[in-house]
Amino acid sequence: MTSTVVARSIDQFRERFTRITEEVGRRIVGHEEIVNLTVTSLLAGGHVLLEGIPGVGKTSLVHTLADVLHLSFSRIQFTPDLMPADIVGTNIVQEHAHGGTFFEFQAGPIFANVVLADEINRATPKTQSALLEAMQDVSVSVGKTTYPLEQPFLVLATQNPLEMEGTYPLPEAQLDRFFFKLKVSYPGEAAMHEILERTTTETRTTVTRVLDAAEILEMRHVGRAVPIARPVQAYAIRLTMGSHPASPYATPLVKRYVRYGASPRAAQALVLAGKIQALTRGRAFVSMDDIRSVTLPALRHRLLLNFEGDADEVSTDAIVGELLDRVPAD
Amino acid sequence: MCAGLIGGLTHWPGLVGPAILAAGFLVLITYACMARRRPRSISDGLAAAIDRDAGLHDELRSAAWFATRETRDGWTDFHVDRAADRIASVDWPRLYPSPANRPAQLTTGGIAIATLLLPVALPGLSGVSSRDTDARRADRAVSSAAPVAGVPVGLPKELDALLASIESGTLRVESPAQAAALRDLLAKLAQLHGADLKQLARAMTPQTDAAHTRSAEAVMKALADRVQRAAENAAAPPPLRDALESLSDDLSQAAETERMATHDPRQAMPAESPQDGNAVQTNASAKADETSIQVVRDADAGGGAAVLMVADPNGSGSDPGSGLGGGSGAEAQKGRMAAIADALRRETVEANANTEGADALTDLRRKSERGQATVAFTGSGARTFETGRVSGRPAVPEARRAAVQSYFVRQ
Repeated sequence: MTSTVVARSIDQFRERFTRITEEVGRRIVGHEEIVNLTVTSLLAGGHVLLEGIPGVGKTSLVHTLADVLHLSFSRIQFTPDLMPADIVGTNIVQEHAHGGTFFEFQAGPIFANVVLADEINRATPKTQSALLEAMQDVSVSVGKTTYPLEQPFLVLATQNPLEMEGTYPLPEAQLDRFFFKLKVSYPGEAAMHEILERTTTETRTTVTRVLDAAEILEMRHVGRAVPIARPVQAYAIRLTMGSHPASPYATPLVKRYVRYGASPRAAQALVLAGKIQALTRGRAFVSMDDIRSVTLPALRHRLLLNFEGDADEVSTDAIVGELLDRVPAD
Repeated sequence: MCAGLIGGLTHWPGLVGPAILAAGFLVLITYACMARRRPRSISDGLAAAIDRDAGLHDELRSAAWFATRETRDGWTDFHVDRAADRIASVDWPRLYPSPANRPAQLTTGGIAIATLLLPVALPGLSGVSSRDTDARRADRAVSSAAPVAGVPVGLPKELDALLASIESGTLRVESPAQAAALRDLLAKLAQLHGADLKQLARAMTPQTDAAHTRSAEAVMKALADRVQRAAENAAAPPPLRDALESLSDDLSQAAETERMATHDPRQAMPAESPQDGNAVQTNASAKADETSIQVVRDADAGGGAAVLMVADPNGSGSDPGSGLGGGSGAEAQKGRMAAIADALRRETVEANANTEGADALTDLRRKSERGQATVAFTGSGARTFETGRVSGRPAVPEARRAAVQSYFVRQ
């Protein structure tokens, strides 16, 4: 691969990424960073957990993203009585035309490129766990048959942090499979004006499909080709290891409030997301700033607090922030 | 600067120092040029620091790491090339201004120019070199001096060499031959008196215009001072120090006599005609070489104290008499009379100055006795002498008083 090809790949990646975010931004107002990180996760092959109060545009974001990317989309509204088969599908009995019966697999809503798992914490852990294999291996096993899912496959789950009654917090294994956990906050005043103007008039904002699945897969390939120097990679490792209480890089908050730190998946997320961020900035290398910019969404849901941390209602964001402040980059 | 200094001290030719400096500069410039072309690897910390300063967002740091890898692909090559282009576009002089300032550069240039010109403009370069040149010139003058009547040929040069070796701390008396030569030299020096000392001082003075204008007194005084300094050198053997001190005293006294002769020629007589001096010859018939015992009585000493001089203990003197041992000829008696007079005055002064007795240290007294090997005190009054022939008590030489006092005060 020559330098010209590399330069063209970088420019193309950046141009496509900009087109996606701009197109999503036509409908989603005030969440540029959320959109940026969601697309980053998509291009890195990860899944996103969106957390926010109702009405801030979580579901709209996912809908818009699916529309822009020209990908198949399915929505699963998680409820306490939702069963795993409702997600992955099930074998049903069919009758032949000439008589006789047979089992036929009826694919569930998981078989889509973009899956919205709305209010995922309202389903039971058993149902939540139905997503584990799909999220990790991009395949579904029903009975004795494993069905691969179509790439790109992206799970966008939402959860409401306020209504905790009757909910089932995601187990750690489930949380660890999310590439990012993004907190969707209230939009600002200016953004609110824009939202009202777009949603309370006759004019409806329409988006166009700017990319298809093949182009997204190509972008994924380009993203993984970005080289990362050993010192930068070491920094990502130090950040990950610093979340462990017994690590020499552990900060005071980690030592006091964290029971288990981030897994190696967190380091993978840091590096992969760092590469995508580098490309979005037109660079062919990963910098420390790229790693730092994705540390919070990549680590915040991977820290398991101890009893003292829960009792003191310590935010994992504060712990990750301290990691960013104290773990040396050199 | 060091090359110039060494060149000046060792009397290199004038252009050798600058040539060495020029060669050194050439080597430095060559090394600098080679160092600039030599590929150098920077550490990760240094690359990070430069990254921060230049705002390269870790591009230099990352590229520096990849540049050291053996396995490269299109992406890393592109990364390294782009980093090189970006680094080349950085305004490094503005980012890292030259630390050198104008005064420092001017000072450095001035020192360099002075270093180049110093050996040429000032071959002598320093007082050390000047002294060395003067010493060489004086040595040449002493060695080229014509033989002087009364002064053995080569004695001035030998004395000058001896003093120089003491001054430089290089005096070595290790072999018996050296010791014998030294003893011979001291014996020759001990035989010098009066005019001989004057001639010796003249012979040891460099033949310069300034030396011609100097008086005999000044010349002898200068030599006396030099000899005295050598005598005070603790590195010299005690016998040598004693002999030098005696020579210094003789020179000082000769200088004083010269001074007095300049102002009142009659007072110079003791040096020139000892027979008419303070000591009176009582037995002129005895041969000078055979005189064994001479007694001079101090008229004011109460009669009990006398000075007994043993001139030749092994000699077979015929009739030692009281007073100054005489010789058959005036020339033979001339030096002996002066020596006796000097010894008498010295001992008299010492006795007067040390009335307490206990104040004089034993070793100093012994030293004084050793310095005048032929002089000793005695309380014996067994010898008879004619008081009528003894002149009055020899006057204490006031010119010596300061030297004697300084001697004891120094000790």
